[in-house]
Amino acid sequence: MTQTMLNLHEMEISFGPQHPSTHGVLRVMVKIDGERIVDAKPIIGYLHRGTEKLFEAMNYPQCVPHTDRMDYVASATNNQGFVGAVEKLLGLTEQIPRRAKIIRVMLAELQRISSHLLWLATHAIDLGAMTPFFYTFRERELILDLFEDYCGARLTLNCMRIGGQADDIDAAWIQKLNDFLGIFDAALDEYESLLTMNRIWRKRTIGIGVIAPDDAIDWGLTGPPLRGSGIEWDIRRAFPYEVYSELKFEIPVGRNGDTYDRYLCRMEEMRQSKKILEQCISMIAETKEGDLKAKVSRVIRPPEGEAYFSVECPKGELGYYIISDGKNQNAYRCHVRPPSFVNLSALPDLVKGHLVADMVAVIGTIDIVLGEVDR
Amino acid sequence: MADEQEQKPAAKPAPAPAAPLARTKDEVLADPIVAPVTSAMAGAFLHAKEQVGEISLYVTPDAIVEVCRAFKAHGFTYLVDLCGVDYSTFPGHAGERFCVNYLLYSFKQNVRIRLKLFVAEGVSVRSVTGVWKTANWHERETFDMFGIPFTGHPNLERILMWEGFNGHPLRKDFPIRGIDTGARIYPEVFPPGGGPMPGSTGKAHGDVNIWKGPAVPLGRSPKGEVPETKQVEAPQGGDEGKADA
Amino acid sequence: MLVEAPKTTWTDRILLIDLFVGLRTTFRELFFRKKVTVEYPEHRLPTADKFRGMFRFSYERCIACKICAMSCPIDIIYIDVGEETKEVDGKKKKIKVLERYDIDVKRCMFCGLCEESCPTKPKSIWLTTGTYELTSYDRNELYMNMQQLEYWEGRPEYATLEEIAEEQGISDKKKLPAGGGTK
Repeated sequence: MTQTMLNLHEMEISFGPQHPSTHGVLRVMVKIDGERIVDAKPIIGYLHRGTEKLFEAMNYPQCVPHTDRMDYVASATNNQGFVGAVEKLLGLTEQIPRRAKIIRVMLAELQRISSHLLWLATHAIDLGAMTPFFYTFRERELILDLFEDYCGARLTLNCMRIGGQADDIDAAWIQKLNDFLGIFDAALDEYESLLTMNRIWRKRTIGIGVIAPDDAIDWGLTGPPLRGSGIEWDIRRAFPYEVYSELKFEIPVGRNGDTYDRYLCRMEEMRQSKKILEQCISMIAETKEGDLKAKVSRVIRPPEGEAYFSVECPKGELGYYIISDGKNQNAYRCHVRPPSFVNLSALPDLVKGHLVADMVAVIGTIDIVLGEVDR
Repeated sequence: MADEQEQKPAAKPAPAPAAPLARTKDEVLADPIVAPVTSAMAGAFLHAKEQVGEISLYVTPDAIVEVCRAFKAHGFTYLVDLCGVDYSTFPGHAGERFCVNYLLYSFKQNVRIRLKLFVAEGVSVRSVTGVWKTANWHERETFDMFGIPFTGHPNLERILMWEGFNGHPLRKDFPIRGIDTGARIYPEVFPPGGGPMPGSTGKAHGDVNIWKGPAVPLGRSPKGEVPETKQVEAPQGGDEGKADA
Repeated sequence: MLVEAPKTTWTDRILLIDLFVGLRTTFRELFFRKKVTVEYPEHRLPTADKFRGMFRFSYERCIACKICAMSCPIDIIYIDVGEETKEVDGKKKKIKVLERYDIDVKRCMFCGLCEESCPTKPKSIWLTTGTYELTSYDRNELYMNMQQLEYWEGRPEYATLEEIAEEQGISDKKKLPAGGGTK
């Protein structure tokens, strides 16, 4: 009633680089009017390490451990993208032995499950549900143990080589994988029992961060943010690589394009990954053990040219664009098309009009990893 | 098994064992994927190539926005990637220094094409943010890393490097070990708004090295300039080193 | 495939069924599931055989070819090779002698490319001691020279080539198995 002396400007808050919910060092300058967000401006670059410049200074085989570190949560798919791009330049794609291709698919799908488990853990804990964090990390430990048995490292795998694979899998590893898949369905049901029908979860995620399909395409979204809006598009179907053309799996698609649909998409993707792994286990029994590498010289010097190769990483479409000048052993230019970078650029559109607490939900649902955003 | 020639197309899953010759510029321009646009705007395309199954079209800088709009109208509604390249040390390259690549994708046809745009240093490129919203951040990154200005961009600022940084990191003359950017830390030594120009290492200002450690050069394994190490005697019973925690 | 959440009826909503389902899950977890927490540092999980931990070096096996230094992505292996004239079978021969073999461990990312590219059999540098506890209070302690790399932390000493050959009954040195070969 009475005029207050308060300035009725919008307040600008720095959702700062040090924040437990931003999944890394992300800064968002948020303009709020009361509790409603008027505008949000992400500021990135805190984790920029100059990876693309480093790629120009190293040989192709030496670049592979560096690709691990971009999306450090899902490093097998990073490796797969880089190695696939170099093989495309060299013309080796058909000569990779079948066993190596199947192993790559298995690692990529395991990595997808592991990345989605971590996404679920952090997304849930950001929104207040602290329990799934512990349960998902318990299953994730089993996956990391599988990786450790395969290549020796748990997080930054460096598991793929140009021309094939370096390590082979044996019956013990497959047995361990089967044990994991045996308990995985029950574990997923457990997480769903905590979240999917929970009214608190639904209230916090339905209707939040809605994006229409045409906007999603215009903003260049890929992965679950695009599929949550109803567009059925997956690199594994559109441009099949490795043995994906032979595998039977479905692509989960949402209807409304909100946070809840993206959550359901990712849960279903984990189940589909389990199906893919089961098919791979039966496929690999028919291949010859030890046949893991195509004939590629020790010195990798692709001919002059450029190639773009993309893989479906858990966050979206991860693409590598490599230009080779034909004379050196290192790339002339290696550009990475990071899905988190592109998905994050749509953040202002996704949060306008929501409350400040929904900003956390939206950042969690886009599933960014700052190592990939900043490279 | 590296190919010897420059261009070996594998556009369609070719069953023929003999590799076909590379398609010429006109054949690529007449490809049904791009023909609706290339025939309508023939003057805008300088060259066309096909490599490892990917079509690259070389576009004149003036026509880029119209070409992009035309492609978007013909189904290429998705801009996958926009990046820059510095061709200054590319062997055999005779044209302008920088190249901006646009990678487009069409859902209906399920194909990708690449548009390449060559500009000289300092020449600005018209922004395609009005065509695809996603170009916003990609163009900011290209500007940040290469210094290619984009006209018509709503917010052309540095995105990965901090504001006030002096230099464009992905240019070929930017040293890989970085430049000494001590301006924030030693304002009395460096000018405000950024560090010294790229190419210098700060040695002119009295060898300011914030890490105060030995300078280990990057590159191939070097001989010399490694820090002093303490010599360790070979142990008798294997008890040397740190005790187990 | 379209993902849909299961439908709720009005009874579910009034009786708070969804909250009780969640509570049942946590109750079950709390009382009826085995705890998987490993209390570090009192208990440690054993690492896998292939675990890429701290490396060890074997001066005896190294042939000073520098391939490991060339394949390291971050160039932390520093090798100096000198030549020495030695009397072998009455003739003077110039042989390569490894003078310096230093690794800057604080920058190592344990990618294993040096081990993979080492051409000797068994390998002269290998990464499977399974130690990941490398902390130190002084930065310079993590720059290791040849002797430190060989006798790392009192780990079992590497088996000499003769010992491996004897153990496996292999007479020809060229047929020795690849890998570290610790005692």
